[in-house]
Amino acid sequence: MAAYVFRRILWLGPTLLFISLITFALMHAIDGGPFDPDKIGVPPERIEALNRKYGLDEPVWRQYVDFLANAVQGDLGISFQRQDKDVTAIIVSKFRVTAVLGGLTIGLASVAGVGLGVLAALHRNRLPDYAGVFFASVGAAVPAFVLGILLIYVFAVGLHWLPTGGWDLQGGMVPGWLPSWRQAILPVITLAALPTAYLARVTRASVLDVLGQDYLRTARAKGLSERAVFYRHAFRNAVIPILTVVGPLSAALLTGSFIVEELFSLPGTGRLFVQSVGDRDYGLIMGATIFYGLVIAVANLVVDVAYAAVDPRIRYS
Amino acid sequence: MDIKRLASWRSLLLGLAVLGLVAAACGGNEPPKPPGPAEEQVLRLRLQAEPKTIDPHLSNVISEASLIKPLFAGLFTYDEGAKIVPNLATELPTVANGGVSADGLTYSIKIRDGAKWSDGKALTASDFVYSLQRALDPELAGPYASSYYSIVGARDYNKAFGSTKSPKTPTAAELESLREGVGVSASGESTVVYQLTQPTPSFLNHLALWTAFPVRQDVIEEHGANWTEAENIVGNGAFVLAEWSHDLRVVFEPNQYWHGEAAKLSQITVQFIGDDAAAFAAYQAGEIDSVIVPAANRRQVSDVNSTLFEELVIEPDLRTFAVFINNQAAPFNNKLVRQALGHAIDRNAYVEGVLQGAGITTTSWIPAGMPGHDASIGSQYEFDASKAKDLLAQAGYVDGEGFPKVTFVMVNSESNRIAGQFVQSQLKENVGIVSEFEYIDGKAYGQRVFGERDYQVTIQSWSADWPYPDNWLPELFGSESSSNIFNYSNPEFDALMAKAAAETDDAKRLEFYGKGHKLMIDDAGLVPLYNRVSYVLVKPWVQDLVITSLDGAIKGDYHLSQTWIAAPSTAVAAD
Repeated sequence: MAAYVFRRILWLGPTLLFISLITFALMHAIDGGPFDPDKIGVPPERIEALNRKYGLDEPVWRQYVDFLANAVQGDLGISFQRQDKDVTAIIVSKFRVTAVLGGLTIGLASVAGVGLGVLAALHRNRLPDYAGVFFASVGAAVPAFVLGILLIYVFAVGLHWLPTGGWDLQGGMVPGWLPSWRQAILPVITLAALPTAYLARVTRASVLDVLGQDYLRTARAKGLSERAVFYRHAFRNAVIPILTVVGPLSAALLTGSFIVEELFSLPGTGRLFVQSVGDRDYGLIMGATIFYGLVIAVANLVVDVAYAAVDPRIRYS
Repeated sequence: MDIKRLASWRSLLLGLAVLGLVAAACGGNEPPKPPGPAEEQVLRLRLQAEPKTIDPHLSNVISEASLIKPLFAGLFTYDEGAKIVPNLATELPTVANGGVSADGLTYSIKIRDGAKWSDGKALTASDFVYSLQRALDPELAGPYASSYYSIVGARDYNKAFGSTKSPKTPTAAELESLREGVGVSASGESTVVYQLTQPTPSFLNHLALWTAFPVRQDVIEEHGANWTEAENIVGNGAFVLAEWSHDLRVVFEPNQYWHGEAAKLSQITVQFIGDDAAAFAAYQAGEIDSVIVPAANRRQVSDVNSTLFEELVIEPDLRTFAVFINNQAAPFNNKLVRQALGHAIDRNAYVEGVLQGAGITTTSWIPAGMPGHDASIGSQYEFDASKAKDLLAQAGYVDGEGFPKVTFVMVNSESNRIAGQFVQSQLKENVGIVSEFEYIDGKAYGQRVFGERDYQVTIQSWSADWPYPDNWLPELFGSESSSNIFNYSNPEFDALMAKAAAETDDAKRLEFYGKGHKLMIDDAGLVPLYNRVSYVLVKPWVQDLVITSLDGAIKGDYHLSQTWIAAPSTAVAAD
């Protein structure tokens, strides 16, 4: 196992290199640069001076090499469109928001999704099943944007119970990490709707599959209570397919949902990444790409290791 | 309960009492109480995005300008009628008061007494000298530097590095001497002297632009690119930057050293709310006090029966939308084709259908509310499909046959797509022209249209940097101008512009600009469509939010020190 993990970590280098190369090439291939005029009357000298300042007048291959040389030393460069701020600093401060949002969402989606799925499976073809499947379908079908704006209008504009957006870390539940619970509710629910639905479906199917297995019949024959049968034997095996989903799901949520962050004005990395492409902020795009590559690779590794922990049949060589 | 009891004198008395209360509540004849101030004087506003910069020398976007105006103040500013008035200057300089030399080349402007920075230090003329030099600094490459090229030595200093084609490498000493050679100097502590190379009709407008606002040399040298952070920045405006939480909000508080009337507000919060629908919801939820109405909600707030209608303020902008034409791209290099285009689009239907009424149709280029406006210009280009067809036939395209492919390049946005669909169907139905619309993202568009001029037609707008025709005509349509993305070239126009620039009498100058305006429009250098109108919602308790046609992305940004909040119980006027 240790060897496996070690090998995976070694592969990170080439993977990130490849990602950076493709991103860099694509970035320079598309029309438009960071300092192209955004209105009439921007003098060409200004554009040239800015390109010079940020090293964009060098040949593309040299720009890439310069970037790599700095990146391996841990310097991801500066942002072209954000007052020359350090890319790493920008990403880390915003990732805090996205990571917390993602974490809360995974938490809610896991509990709600798995809970709904188990409930549905245990009471198959009865009311809890139909209700659970119904809510899961709605959660999957309604787009995040629609759900979000609906929640805003009902709970913020209509009832005045919750704010329309924002993510204030200073006066929050845990200063610097968690915002006030009021601000967290609507974005988390909106973002969790689809994962909850998906998890409910997968859990229901997985539990139903396991419930029909012979070894459970043995357990019941041994005299175990239905409760023990479920929690000690059935559930653990049902969890494995769920882990398949949670892995990529976590990675997706950790890298941020642009739509939810945009709608609720959350200063996270989801928005940042999309904005940086629209701005052609080369420095930020490259830094963000490397960062994401790292996060996703690590998340996938964690999931694979968790697999092995949960399922004794799985062994990595 | 029996009927007799119901009709008893007690119930009668009760009924009368209720009637009396209702009558008192309606109180029609009593004059409305003037609103008193609320305890909390906090104004909450919205901007769409975090500003890239609030450095006056680096900013060229109206959303950023809205944040710069409360923090800094220049020699001149604009009043509610978009007329230029002194701000830090003691008076408007004229030949009569000695502020302007007789040949119009020297401006001596006295700074008022007691002007201070927000940290208490005195504001001096040398601050203005440093500021102009920095605005022209070639290393900084500020976007509005070229607006000051009429100042002696400005062009040479700003272009010290040459261009990519012919680069120059000045030494530090050479740069320093170029910098010193810029025609701005301090005469004593409180007089700034500007030397011009030629008389410049709009020079005071240039000094009112945020690029000419003074900045603190020591603060910038100490903090570098971070000098605009809340803990570092020092300004001289009516407000100070109390907080800038990136991607969240900006908070202003009154500047205790402001020379003018102290701001009545104790705090202004500007939230960055990216999504228009969310911003509108925030207004309805009472989280912000004013919002520019998103296009999708215009009909809703224009409805006379809606409560929002009472909170609606409609203000025309100094902005004209037009079909921008590349005069060198076939088939639009043919004047007849351009003129046909001028007749081919139903502007009234456009404003109604595409803008839900939020626009003023126009056939002329310079909008109402500024000198140089003339509604009669272009009036020959009223919507007339048959005239359009005639002109096309004259150009050789009978019934639109043989007309080459027309592609409109547009920035990809919802409103542009709606506009595009409309124009596409108009051209097809009215003159049989088949047009294609290409929607690309902002930066790609900037490179193609503004940079390379690689387009045939597009729908774009121009808004006043300052309210004078020199900002609308020579810069855009002069054949030598680097900003002439229309590739419009008419020597007669150039001659008129030169005459206007050399003229010292304002009335005669405006005549020349008027002739140039008419010439360009008669040539159909572009096809004006409408002047934009801003629909703004303002909560009833916000008093004296002075909205002008020159405002940026925050409406009322020129006069925020006048705004205050009324106490809720007195805020709503009687029926």
